[in-house]
Amino acid sequence: METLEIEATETTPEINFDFSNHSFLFCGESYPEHSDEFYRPILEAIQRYSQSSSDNQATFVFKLTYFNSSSARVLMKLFELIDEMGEERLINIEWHFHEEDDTMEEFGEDFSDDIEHANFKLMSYSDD
Amino acid sequence: MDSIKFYGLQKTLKENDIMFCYSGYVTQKILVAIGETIKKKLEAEETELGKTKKVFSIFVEGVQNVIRYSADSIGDSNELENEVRYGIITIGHHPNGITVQCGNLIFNKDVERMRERIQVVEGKDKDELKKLYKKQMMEGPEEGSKGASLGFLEMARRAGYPLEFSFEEVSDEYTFFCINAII
Repeated sequence: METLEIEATETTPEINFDFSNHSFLFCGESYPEHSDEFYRPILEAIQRYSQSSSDNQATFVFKLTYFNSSSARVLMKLFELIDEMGEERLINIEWHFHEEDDTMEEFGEDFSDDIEHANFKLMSYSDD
Repeated sequence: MDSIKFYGLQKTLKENDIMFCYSGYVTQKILVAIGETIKKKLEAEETELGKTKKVFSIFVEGVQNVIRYSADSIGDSNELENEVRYGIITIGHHPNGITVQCGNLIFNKDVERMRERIQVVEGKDKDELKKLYKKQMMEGPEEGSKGASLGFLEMARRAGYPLEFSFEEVSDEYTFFCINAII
């Protein structure tokens, strides 16, 4: 599969899916007017990847600094997909949040509660 | 508007400690522009990052709610693009923190449905809100909600105090709907 690269906009995050290296990045803010439209091709790409037979471990890195409630709904679906993949192969999820950003920390905890198969790591960072 | 009335408007805002006010048509583009302004303003006031994020989150949900549900619109409301809705948004200081207030006209016939959605969040503590939020995420949007029934739950979770809602019937057709959040 070819690398999927989407540049960040004011209301949508940067997406970088490097399928050959099994690495998936979400970075930035997400509050588009129509979240479903933005995320549809992204979810489809992950679905296609999950169907490709491979036992390589994959890493999903989330460096989201803000997202609205309709993006949260899509992220929930995304985590379900990723977690299902974890039944077949090793899946790492990194959830990065600023140490003072308790909203992003709480979201990370919320999502990790439902993860059964993948490794979910909460990682805080500071300004310096 | 004559200058005395215009001054009166400014005075009213100042007396209520409003640092920012927008009244007019709101679109996603306007939301982004105002959002950036608010973030910069709060950063300049050295507001803690966590608090700035919560104000921003409540602001986005409040305004996207106006964009989606306001009765007062131009353009075909079935068109996904170019949805333009009329509302008023203020951000201000409050003895307990920062307030975000959003108001817009809704149809009287929609009041009941709006009240039902509010009842979901009213009187709930943070743990209950968290559980409800998750439940709503799993269940998907309710019938005819244009995708954001989670909005009020998100606002309630981020606010420091219970959200205040009010409905003022202003004519046979319209009700002024207002949400006030303190962070």
